[in-house]
Amino acid sequence: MKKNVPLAIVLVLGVLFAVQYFVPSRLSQRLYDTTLEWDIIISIPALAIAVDSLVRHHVVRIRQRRKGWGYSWVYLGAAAVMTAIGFSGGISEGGLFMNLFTFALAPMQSTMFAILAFYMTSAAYRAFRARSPEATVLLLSAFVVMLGLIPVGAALWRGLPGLSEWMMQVPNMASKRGITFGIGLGSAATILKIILGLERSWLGGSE
Amino acid sequence: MKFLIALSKIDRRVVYLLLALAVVVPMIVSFNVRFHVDRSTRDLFEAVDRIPPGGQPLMLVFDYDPQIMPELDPMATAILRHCFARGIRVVGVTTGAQGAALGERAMARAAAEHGKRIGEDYCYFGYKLFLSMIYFGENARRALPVDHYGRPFDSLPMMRGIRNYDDIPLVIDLAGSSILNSWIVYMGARYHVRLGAGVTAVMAPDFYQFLQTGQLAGQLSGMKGAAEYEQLVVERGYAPAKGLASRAMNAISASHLLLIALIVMGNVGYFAARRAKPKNPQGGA
Repeated sequence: MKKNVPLAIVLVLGVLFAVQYFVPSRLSQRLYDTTLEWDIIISIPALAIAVDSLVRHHVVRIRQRRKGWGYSWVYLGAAAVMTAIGFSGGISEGGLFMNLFTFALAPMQSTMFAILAFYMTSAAYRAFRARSPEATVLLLSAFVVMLGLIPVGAALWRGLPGLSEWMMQVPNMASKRGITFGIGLGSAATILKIILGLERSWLGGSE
Repeated sequence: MKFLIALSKIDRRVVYLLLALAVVVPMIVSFNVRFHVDRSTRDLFEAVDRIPPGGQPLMLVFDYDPQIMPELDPMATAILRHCFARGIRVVGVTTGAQGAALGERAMARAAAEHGKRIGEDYCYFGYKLFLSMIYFGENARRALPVDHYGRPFDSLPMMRGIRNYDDIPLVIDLAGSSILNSWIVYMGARYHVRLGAGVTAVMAPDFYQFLQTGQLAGQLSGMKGAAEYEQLVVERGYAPAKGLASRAMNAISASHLLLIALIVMGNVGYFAARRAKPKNPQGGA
């Protein structure tokens, strides 16, 4: 029952909406509209469930004294403070909530992302070696693309930005399109397996 | 020979320091450089420029968070300046919770610069579920019943006559995630929405295929895309001076040149070390 009912819902709705997309009738349109409204309504409690799940996860980490459990206190504290400030003072521009977001959270997140540039530069310097003909081609391509991205590239040679754009749009896209095509076919096959009940991992458990 | 070998063994702290200098110094000592404008940037600019002033609004979607704000915020600012200077109305929205504050700030700042009024020249709906944006294709009023400030849809003069995506000539999604794929799949395929995009530099190649198929009207790629857009805005007389992205491009140029120099030095050291290595007379590994 616990598994058969969700599987039946997925099978019926999956087939129904695959057909609905190709049937331009008033009934079909009404069905689609109503389902979209239901989806929006269902999504809102789903947000609450997500918050509940996150809080439980951190509470369990603290209880079991797992590695880095102290950070869970930081998360819970920050979440509680921001929630209290948001409910009591609102989230309008210029308020405490928005100031904390703008002057604390935003710079911290930007900094975390910016630090990546330092690691990437160091890693590129150490790892990018012309050890083989393939690596040399990769290296030269990277130089052309990097120089093509910056104004200095055009100053060195006028055709460099165009060459860089061509490399990204043609040889790069040839391989990229092959990968995308594979992903598309794989996704279609997975969706079909889910609708037909052959793929059940989304139900949880070992199945 | 030892000096050449040492080129491949520079301490990582020195590399970090050099990179910090390459980023900070060009931001302080600013110089004006002209960019080669990519076709995708030009296409997006032209798509915006073709929207008649005072008519149907452009929809700008702030699907980014503070992590990638430095790359995407200048894009938002450049597009908003272009729209407001030309008299194009703008509807702002985001499907990411953290994008709500960033979008509000970008819109309010650009609107204040051009003396635009909320409700008449621009509207901001803040954070909405992606499902709501799909539903916008069916019924705009029910999908976005109130704006970010709690005002009903019908009380916003510029939203009168907006039924669904048929009344939005262009939607530009500024995204730092695969949400742009969903916009292309749902809004592009189902509702035939004309879409444009602004994405981070690392994500840009993922969407070239949609430019080639015409599913995206144009695309801004990273800080360079924002700088190119700023240049076009200035060249067409919509703004007197370039903005933050153009200044940041100097830092990006310097850091790219540093990276190329470091890689060249690393390879010089690598080959010098290989040459200096004594050959095994036994021929073993």
